[in-house]
Amino acid sequence: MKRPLLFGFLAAALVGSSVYTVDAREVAVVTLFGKPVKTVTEPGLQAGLPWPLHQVIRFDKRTQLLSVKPAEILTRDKKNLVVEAFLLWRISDPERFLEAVGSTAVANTQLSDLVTSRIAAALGNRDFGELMTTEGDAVSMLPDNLLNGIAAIGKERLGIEALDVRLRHLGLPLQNEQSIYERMRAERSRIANAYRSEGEERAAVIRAEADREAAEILAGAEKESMAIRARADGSAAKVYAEAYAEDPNFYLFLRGLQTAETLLDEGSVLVVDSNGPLFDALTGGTP
Amino acid sequence: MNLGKLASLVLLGLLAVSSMVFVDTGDVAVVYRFGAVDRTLDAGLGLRAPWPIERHEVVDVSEVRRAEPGPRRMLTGDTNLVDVDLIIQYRVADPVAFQLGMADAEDTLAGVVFAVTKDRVATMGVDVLLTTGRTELQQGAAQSANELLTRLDTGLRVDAVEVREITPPPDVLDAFKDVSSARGDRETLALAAEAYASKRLPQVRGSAAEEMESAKAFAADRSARAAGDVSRFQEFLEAKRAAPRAVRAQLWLETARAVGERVEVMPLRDGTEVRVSP
Repeated sequence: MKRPLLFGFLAAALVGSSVYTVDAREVAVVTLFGKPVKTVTEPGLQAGLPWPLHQVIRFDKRTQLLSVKPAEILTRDKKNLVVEAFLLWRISDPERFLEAVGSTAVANTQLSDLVTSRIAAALGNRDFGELMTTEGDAVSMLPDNLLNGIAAIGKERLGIEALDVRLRHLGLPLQNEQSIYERMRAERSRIANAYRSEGEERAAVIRAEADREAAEILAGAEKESMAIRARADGSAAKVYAEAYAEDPNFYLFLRGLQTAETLLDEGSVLVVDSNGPLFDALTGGTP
Repeated sequence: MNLGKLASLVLLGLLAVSSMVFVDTGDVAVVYRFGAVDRTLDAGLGLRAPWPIERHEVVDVSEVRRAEPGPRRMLTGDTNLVDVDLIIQYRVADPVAFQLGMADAEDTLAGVVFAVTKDRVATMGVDVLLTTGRTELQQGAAQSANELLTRLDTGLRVDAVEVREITPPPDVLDAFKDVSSARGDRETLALAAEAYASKRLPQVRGSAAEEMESAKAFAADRSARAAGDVSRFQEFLEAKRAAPRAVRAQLWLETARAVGERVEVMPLRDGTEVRVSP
């Protein structure tokens, strides 16, 4: 009665330890006494030899993000840059990966150094000015063959596939930022001055135009008013001339009297011969 | 016997419950059979085999997710520095790829968006970036990020890269503010000149009109006076034709009297002043 139970239990344990699942996120390397004998890349239920013959070592087969810590590099024209790169990679050869690296953390450490040195070499071949430009389209600042180089080494030595390498950040060391600030300030003050001068210019033009227009209006009015006055003088002269033509002597006599009356106003002193007829006429007409 | 029945009933119930999958609206359940993706279940009630044969994971595919990675300093194409603060709005477009593709999908997303944004900022001038370039930056970054995310099979899709803020670094902010105040000054100066012009011209038009009116008044006065003088002359002329000498003498005397009344008369005899008693 007890024996079948024991056998059943043992059989279950045997089957249980020789059947295993591989998750969709994993790849597995099966080792026999520590030696890799099989790689499982397809997920699902798998059969193998029971423990301790077969051992299943699982790795994450998803794409891994390696954020490389910021590094200071020099461009060809000796400008310092701070770059912060990331590498996307995944396991492509699990057996090689197991042999050479063994874990994602170790792989990240090795890849970090590789990426940093490759980027330093790539950007060290270019001038700072080539990286920044306001012409052309946005492209990755890293050359295409950078990824190829990293991918080749990764595949051969680590059993991984490098998918993409990018600069998350590209900046300047703090002490170099100061010199950029100086330049930015100088440029801004140039632009501000240009705006203000432009304003002064525009204002001067507007004022000058207004002054010219004013002068034109005044000159025009003056011209026309002089013409009106001249016309009036002319036609008055014509009227007087007609009258004069009728009796020149009498006309002159009357105009003379009129002129005398106009000229001699209050406060004038008239010097006259006391024997003449004018004196009598002026002083009341007594001879 | 009764106890065994009850136990098997409970067991059956548990089995049934653990086979049912309730998927909310906007979610998708990914069903794994022995670890391999077998199928996906859309919203509603679904069935799966009980553990350990099958299990499922729910992914929200409708929610617009936000990532705010914080501001970063970037170099512009004309070697200025700007601080760019991004908000990334994204969705899970492919739940299976999202579950299987990336170990750190959301970190990768932020890295990718920063990388393409930085590349784009490095091709744009600071003035464009701070004014009209924001839209171009947002759209360009979203587009480039999506190309990369699709190529990397992340299962994520960026709806929008929003530039929350793009500013010059605090150290040089005052210089940039001065530029906008200078732009204001430019307008102010022009406006002051316009004000001068719009005050000056009406004034001038006014005095021009005044000038014209006074000329017209002069003309009217002149012709009226001439007409008056002439008609007075005509009257005297007519009178004079009747009695020439008398009219002349009369007119002469009248004028002399009128003048004599208001002027001081200084009599002279043979060139010397004489006193006349009034």
